[in-house]
Amino acid sequence: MIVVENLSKSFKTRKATLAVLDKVSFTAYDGEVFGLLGPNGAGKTTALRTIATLLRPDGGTVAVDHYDSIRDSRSVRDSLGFLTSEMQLTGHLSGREMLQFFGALNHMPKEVIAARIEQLAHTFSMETYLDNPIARLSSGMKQKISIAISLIHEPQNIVFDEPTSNLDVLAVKVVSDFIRAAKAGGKCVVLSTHVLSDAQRLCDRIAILHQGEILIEGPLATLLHDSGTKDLEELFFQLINGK
Amino acid sequence: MFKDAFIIFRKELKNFFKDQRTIISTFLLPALLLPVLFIGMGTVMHTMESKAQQTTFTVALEGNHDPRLTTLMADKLSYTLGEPQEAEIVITFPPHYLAGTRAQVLVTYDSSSSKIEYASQRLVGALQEYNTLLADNLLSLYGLAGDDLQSLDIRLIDIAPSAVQSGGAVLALLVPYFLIIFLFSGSMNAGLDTTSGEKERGSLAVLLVNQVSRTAIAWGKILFVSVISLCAAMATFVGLLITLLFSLDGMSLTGASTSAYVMSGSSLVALVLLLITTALFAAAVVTVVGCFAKTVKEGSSYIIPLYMVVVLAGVTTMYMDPSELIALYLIPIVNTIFVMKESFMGMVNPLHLVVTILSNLCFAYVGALVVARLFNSERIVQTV
Repeated sequence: MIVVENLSKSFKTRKATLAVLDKVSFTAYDGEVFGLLGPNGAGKTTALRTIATLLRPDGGTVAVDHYDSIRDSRSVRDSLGFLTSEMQLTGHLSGREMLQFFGALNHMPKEVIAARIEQLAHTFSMETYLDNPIARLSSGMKQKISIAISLIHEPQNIVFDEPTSNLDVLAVKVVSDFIRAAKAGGKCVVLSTHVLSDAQRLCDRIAILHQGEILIEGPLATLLHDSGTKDLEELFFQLINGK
Repeated sequence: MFKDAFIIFRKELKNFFKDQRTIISTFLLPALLLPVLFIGMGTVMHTMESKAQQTTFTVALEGNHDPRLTTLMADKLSYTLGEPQEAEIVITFPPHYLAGTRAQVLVTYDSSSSKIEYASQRLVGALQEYNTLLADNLLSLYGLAGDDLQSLDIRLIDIAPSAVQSGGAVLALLVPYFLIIFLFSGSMNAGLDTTSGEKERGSLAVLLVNQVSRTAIAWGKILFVSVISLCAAMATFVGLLITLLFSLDGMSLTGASTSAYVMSGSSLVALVLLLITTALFAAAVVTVVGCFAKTVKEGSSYIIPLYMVVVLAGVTTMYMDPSELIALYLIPIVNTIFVMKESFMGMVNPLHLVVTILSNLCFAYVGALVVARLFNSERIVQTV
């Protein structure tokens, strides 16, 4: 479970202090997919990086499975799988070698890493290219390996920032199926995406973030009903334009 | 922590050695550059000289046809006498010159041709021998010989260590400079790729969300860059040894023979310690700079001025003798160059060596602390 309470974050530039998040609160529970949506610059990536312990909150708290992101950052990282949208895998190592490396970084025994790699290779249909150098893979293949890297240590909580970017239709289905399976397995999934149709299909609850503030949060069906909108896209633009 | 640092180190090293192009540019090129440059250029010069020796030149000799002179010229050079208009070299004595009288002799040649330049030098040699011959003739009129004018028999006795006499001085002049240059250039690519390169690719953020401490990540990366820069320096060293050991007479630009040079065990140990600690220092500096940059391109623009400082330190100390001023051994790069010079000349001062190693290690440790601090701060991820 991920609990974000009154999270504020700003960045100092040479000329001014830029407030990116202003008292943002939401909770993502185990066994659900929580969608964090918003236009570019809304503060989604900053929120996800703060959850992943890469940034320190200026105010408020972030707790992952009751571990505080500042005091117990290592425990937070242990129970968190993090995929950033900006990750561009490259280099001459194979996907298997990269997964072995990240498994070792998570202090997993070799035989457990090997078994987990086979499992992930099967889940994401990577068997045919897992031993090829990453530099020679397509962007979709690389994205699948990036997702597998974030999941190598079987985290209870999964934070995905744009997981379906660069993926073709078939690969999107593979990732979507995995997210549904993770949810069914009791995992907590926080998903940030600009593909609203993906969010509507996958998310149980959503929060729409705009200019550092949560505009709306709740179960998708309830939000659509209360706002009188027919789908997430209509709700999204109604909120953003209304703001 | 060191187990985690080793995981990072091993992965980086594995990735590095799987790239053939990087191996060629980092190790093979430095190893081949110096032999190709020195032996190649030496060979070209040697070939040109051989060709010049086999060429028959047209020489015009004006104002003096003394057969003793033409015989001496024939000993030095293959030539035929010709008219000044068609001659490649013209030797002009004053009109009505009498052998043995004081006169100005002009040797006219075209220095833009290396063959003619060579021939003119040979002819100048013949003229000097002719001058000596004439002087001896004059002295003989007074019952003297040329040697009678030499009252002092001057002999030089070199008391330098055997390592210096057998070519260590040449090595002390060249090797530290090249080693330092390639040590730094070797660390630059690897250091920037593993810091600002990882930022640029967005992979550093994922690396930081793991169970390893960020200090371990910092040490792993510094260790990797150190090993690469050390290997690059060793490749240069091997290249330099090939150049010096396999250069034949007249085929090397280094001039002195170093084939008899033997480095003592203690000097070799000192050299290895120096290289390791300097590699750590270079790696720490490059990694710190790489951490401040958002992209490899930005990192390169930060590194170039530092690299120029290193080159400057190498050039300015190239012809300097190792200093006795102990404070200089606290300054990285300068200290390494001085103690390397001492090593090659077989006269390592233990105090200089210890101060240098401690200084390098201290600077490397401070650099590692800065890298670890940057990895532990938000600054590193704000640019990811």
